[in-house]
Order: sequence, then C-alpha cells, then structure tokens
Amino acid sequence: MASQVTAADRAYLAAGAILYLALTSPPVLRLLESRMTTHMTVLLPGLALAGYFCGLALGALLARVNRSWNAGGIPGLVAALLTAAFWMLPRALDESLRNPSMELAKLISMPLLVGALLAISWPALGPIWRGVLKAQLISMLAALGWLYSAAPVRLCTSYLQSDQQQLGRALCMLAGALALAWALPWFFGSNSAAESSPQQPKRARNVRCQARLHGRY
Amino acid sequence: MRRRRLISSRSIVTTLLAVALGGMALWTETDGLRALTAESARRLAVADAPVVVPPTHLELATGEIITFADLAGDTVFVDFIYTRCPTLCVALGTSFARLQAAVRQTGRDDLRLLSISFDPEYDTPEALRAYGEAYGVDMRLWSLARITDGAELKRLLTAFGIVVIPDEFGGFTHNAAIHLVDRQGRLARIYDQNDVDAALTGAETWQAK
Repeated sequence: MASQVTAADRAYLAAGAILYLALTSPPVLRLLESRMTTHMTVLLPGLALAGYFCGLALGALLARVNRSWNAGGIPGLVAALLTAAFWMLPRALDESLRNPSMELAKLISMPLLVGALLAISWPALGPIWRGVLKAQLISMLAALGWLYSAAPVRLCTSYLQSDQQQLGRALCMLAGALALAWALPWFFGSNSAAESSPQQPKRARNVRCQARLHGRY
Repeated sequence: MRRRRLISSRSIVTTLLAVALGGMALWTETDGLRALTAESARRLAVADAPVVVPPTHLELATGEIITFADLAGDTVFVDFIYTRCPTLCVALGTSFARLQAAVRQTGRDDLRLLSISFDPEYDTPEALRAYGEAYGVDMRLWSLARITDGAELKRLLTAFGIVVIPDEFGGFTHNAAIHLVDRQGRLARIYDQNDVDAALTGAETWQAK
C-alpha cells in the first residue's frame, strides 16, 4: 500500500515540532516547571499533544507496522497508560526537576510513548475501550484533583502546598470540562459525536480520516 | 488481502513487552511500591544505606565553630530551620524542645540535638540565641548553628535530601523531619517531625547495634 505524505500530514508534523520546540525551550520549560499547576496541566499534556500531532502525521506511514504490532491499538494504549502513570508519581515529577536524565526521559517519553502512541492507537480502538479510557481519565483527574486539594501534606518537595491545592482545583475543573465536552454532543445529535463511535477501519486512508476526526476529542 | 484479526501474535508480544517494561519502570521508581513521594523515598534510601554526612563547618550560637567530626561518638538529632519561620519550624522547634526534655530524662550524655539554619544571612549567632531562648534551649545539649559557606550548605542539604523553596510570604518552605546522625557521622534514620518517641527509641536501638 503506497502511503504518501499529504499536506495535512506535513501541517501536523510542523505543528507538533513547533509545539515541542516551544515547550522545551529553556525559558518556557523553566517557567512551566516553576509551578506544580502548570507543570502538570500545561507542560505534560502539551508534550503529549506535540507527540500526538506527530503521531497523526505518521499514522499513515506506520499503518502496516501498526496493524501487525499494535493490533486493536491495545499494545500502544497499554504503553501510553503506563508511561502516563509513571509521570503522575509525585516522586517522578520531583526527580525530573533535580536529575537531568529524568528530565530528558520526561521530555522524550511524554510525546513519544504517550502522545504519538495514543494517536496511532486511538483509531484502532473499539468503542468499549474508548469509553473505558474516557471514563477512566475523567475519574482519575477528579480523584487526583480531590486528593491534591484536600491532602494535608505536600506531595512534592519542590512545590508549595498552595500550589498543590491550586492544581487540585484545576484538575477537578478539567475533569468537569472533559465530561461536558464528551457528553454534550450526544444531546445535540451532532455528526461528529455520532461518527466518533467507530467502525473498524478498512483502509489506511480511512484510518487517517478517523485519526483526524478524533484529534478533536 | 488477508483478513485482519483483532489480536495478532505480534501484538501479544508488544503488549507483554509494554507491560513488562512499564511495570519495571514503575516498580523501580517507587522502590517496589514502597515510596511514591520524594520525601518517603529519601527516608527509605537512608534506612537502607546510611549516608555519610559531608564535612561541614558549623558556626554555633555561642560563636564557636565546629565540624561534624567534632560530634563523632555522639548520636545527634538534626533538624533544619530558619528562625523567622512562622509555621512549620514552630512545630519542629516544639518537638525538638520535647526531644530535649526526653533526652535529659534518659540521663545519657551521648545524645545531642543540633538545629541547623539554612538562612545564614538572617540567622546570625544573635538570632540563633533568640531562637534558643524562645524554645528553652540548653546549649550544652542542644546546639544551634548556621553554615556560612554557601557551597558547604548546599552540599549538606543535598546529602540530607532537604529541598528549600521560597514561599509566597517571603519565607521558605522545606521538608521538615527529625534526622538521626549516628556515632560514625552517618545519617542513619529520618523520622516524622512530631514523632519524638520513635526518634528516641530509634536512637537507642540504632546505638545498640
């Protein structure tokens, strides 16, 4: 199957690269890491998003490998979730601030193992997995949010308690916003919501279209 | 084209690989699920392998200058403070005052207390003496000190795993605890700041070894 790189692919690749370079430029990185709230709600998701864009761009090229080594998107999903779980550890977050090799691991694994893997795995995931994933994400954000806003001790030695509480509130709001964003379209019968319940993609082209579609979710 | 199966043997391999590598990373990073935060990790690391305290000059509230080597032979409870601290150090100072009373009660002369300020500019020997008066410090038992050499201070804080960050009120936030330095000058145990009993029992059992 001859896969060609389209203009849209190039645009995604450029967007991913620009976002990545912007986030990892030393002044921006230092600014985002100076607060626990921006570290976890801007830097980590931003890195994943940069990788996600690159994953969308490369999805068609990787389609064949993806189908045999990442059937149903499950291996990619598992790797992405475990990597994300790793960077949810307060200890890992702390160490990335003090240990350059941990910082490097963070800057590489968030885009590649979380963002890009999700981008190439998501189109192949069945509706049940998608639902589980969304429900899981919302409940995890809400639980972490509640924990951070209520915990009497600091979980990171590098950040203030007030920062931790602010992050907690931000995570709760994020959980609420995601729940609304995913639930609302169903009430208005919009096409995009209906189409996001997937049929198994038949062709690579189809995979790519779906990837585009789900980029919005 | 061959019909695509939902699960391929290759995908089983990659799934298992992802689970194994991811699980290993999580297991290693949490010391086998024993430490999820940097603070618990530092306590665990010290308990597993005592850390030799780097040679450091301490300027005491009495004006005397000593090094950690001068304390060898004694078991020392160490905490880190800054005297204008309004919150955490009050609790820490109070537990050290309780510790002082408990140590006095044991009647042993090989147990000492040492409070080290990480704010040498403000915490002059005079400021330390004022702190000492506020907490009823018996200077023969409980030494108050500052470290004037910036590099030495940084090295000591790193060795102890103390992270000091400026807070929004012009002061500092830092991880507070009772640190036990053994007779050989090694950081051997770290206790919760209000767990005076555990620290005292720990000192006695550690010394017995």
